Amino acid sequence: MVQNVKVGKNMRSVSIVGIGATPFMNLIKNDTYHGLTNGELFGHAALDAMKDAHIEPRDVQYFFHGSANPHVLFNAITPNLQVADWFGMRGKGSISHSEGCCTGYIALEEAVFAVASGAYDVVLTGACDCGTGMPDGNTPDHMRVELSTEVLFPDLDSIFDRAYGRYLGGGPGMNHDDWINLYAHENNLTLEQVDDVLNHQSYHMRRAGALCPRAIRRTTFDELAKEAGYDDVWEYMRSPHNPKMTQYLRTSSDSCVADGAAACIVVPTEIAHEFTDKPVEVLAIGASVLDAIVPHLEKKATAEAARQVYEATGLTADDMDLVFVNDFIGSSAFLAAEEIGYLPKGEGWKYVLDGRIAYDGDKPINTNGGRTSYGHAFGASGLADIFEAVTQMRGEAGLRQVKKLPKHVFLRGFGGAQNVRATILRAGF
Amino acid sequence: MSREEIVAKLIEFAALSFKVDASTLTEETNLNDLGTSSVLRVGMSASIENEFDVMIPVARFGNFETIGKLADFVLEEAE
Amino acid sequence: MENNNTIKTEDFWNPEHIVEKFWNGLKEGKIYGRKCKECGAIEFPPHLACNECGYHETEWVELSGKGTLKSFVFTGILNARLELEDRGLKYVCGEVQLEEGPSINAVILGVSKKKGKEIADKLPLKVKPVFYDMGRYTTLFFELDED
Repeated sequence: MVQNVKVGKNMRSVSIVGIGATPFMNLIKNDTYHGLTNGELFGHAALDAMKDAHIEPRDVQYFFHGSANPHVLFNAITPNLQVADWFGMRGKGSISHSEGCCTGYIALEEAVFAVASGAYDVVLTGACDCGTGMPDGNTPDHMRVELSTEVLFPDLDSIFDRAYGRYLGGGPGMNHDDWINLYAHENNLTLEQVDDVLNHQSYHMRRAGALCPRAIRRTTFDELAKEAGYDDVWEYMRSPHNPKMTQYLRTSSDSCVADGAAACIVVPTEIAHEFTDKPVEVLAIGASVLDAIVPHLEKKATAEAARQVYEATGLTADDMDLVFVNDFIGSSAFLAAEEIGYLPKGEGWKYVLDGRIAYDGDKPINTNGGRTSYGHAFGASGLADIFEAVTQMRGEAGLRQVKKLPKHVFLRGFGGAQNVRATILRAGF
Repeated sequence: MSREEIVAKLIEFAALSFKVDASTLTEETNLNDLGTSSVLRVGMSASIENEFDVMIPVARFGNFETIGKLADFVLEEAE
Repeated sequence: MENNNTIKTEDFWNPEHIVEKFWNGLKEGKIYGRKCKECGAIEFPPHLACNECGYHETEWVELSGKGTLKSFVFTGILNARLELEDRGLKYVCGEVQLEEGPSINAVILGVSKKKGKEIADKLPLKVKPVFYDMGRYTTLFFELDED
């Protein structure tokens, strides 16, 4: 691929001044939430973000709606106008966009473009997917049924290139284990060592998820092990309670499908302090997209997007205080953190084993628990990570607050087999 | 492994994966009534592959209505 | 030249059918790629432009299908390829570099779990093409080239 892109400086700097997010939940199984709809979830997240920015719906000029799979999950192809009325923006301009599981990270990029250009001053960007279910036939949106694997799996192939890759077959089959397999060979790790590393990673992510009120899985593996009669949690992690679902990944490394929404408000940085005393600036965003037929595409696209954002900001990995990696493939978390230089080359696996990537470690990753614990509502996951990043940067994350108040945060967006974004945020101004 | 032993193992796995009490499960239990989402079925399929080295992709799990039919398939494949 | 509005659209715009030619080629045991007119890199699968140097034009070339398997993974219950499982095929998915240069993720037939473990530390290994009839279309898999 040609790697000659230089990301320029925004015409004017843009900052996040308001954030909102619903919990990640299961609308099908949870009686309290059963019956809620896409419009209501998006609406609540949007109104929460406006409230956080101390503004009313009337003050917002334009919005973006992101969702990974509106057609199957919402039976809609123009969700933006179908949700606008929920949060008082009827008749204003808006866009729907869809980049698979990278949608929520790209949602921030879209909003920054709209403000940096000078076209708009106050923009809302949100995302919502109800991933646990699907419409109950031709009925109103409060009526949803469980999304069966018979519907889900064939549909998952829609993220692969229909001209070639989907029917040459190799890419789809390597989607999960390609990078961890390459990493294991490059670092001479045995299957048992890799298994141990991934179990430790899921273990520490769940410790954070347990302290996050919006996470869908909040029972620590210590508690699960005890309940199942194991006094050694690592034995439990290798037991039939946690079986292998791919060559390398156990179910503890599987993302937990969820329903949920998240949103944020962005404005020009020069007026940010009119909305909040803790604005977070979006410094720059690197972008690289590679089809699933490309060998080791996640490693290559992550490196390329990181190159762009480091060059655009003049920062390096040593400046990063906290990292978020979209880890619906469990192994991505520490692999991407090492690829961007946050963890030393060839050492990332040791940092995981030593718990240094936990929210209370010195190299924290995914302090909301990530996809395996916070949950994965496809398009909404990216904005849920931005919600957590801003919460941490404001020092408002409570029991899971990282020790050193983060000044710079790196988010590695990923999805739709595969779009990659590398976003750097800055706080403390 | 005898068919009875396979049925017993499958009941044990089904109780874990579908989060139901093993005593409520029999050979006639229809697995599709326990749930069809990937969150539930992944654990069951993975346990079967880890234990018997018989691969049932999650998307094909619905082909087996009862634990008995599943046991027959495992018995046949595991030889 | 465009103001002659009586010209038939098909005479005005009639590009080659690249994807159709590729898949029909596989039916005849031919593997088509493209070759960049500026840098000479092979574009596989075939597209209009070159993704190696970013030039706008490529031309047809036929590939041997010979290559080397550089890495591979097994699939599991979550990522198994249903179209292969339904046909009872034993396979792995891996990086195949064609002898003409390009690398792709591909399906390698005839590699069971046992065989896979045997060859894991013998990579890279030679592979050759398999033109596999899927019924509605013929696709391109690979198999180990052990002769």
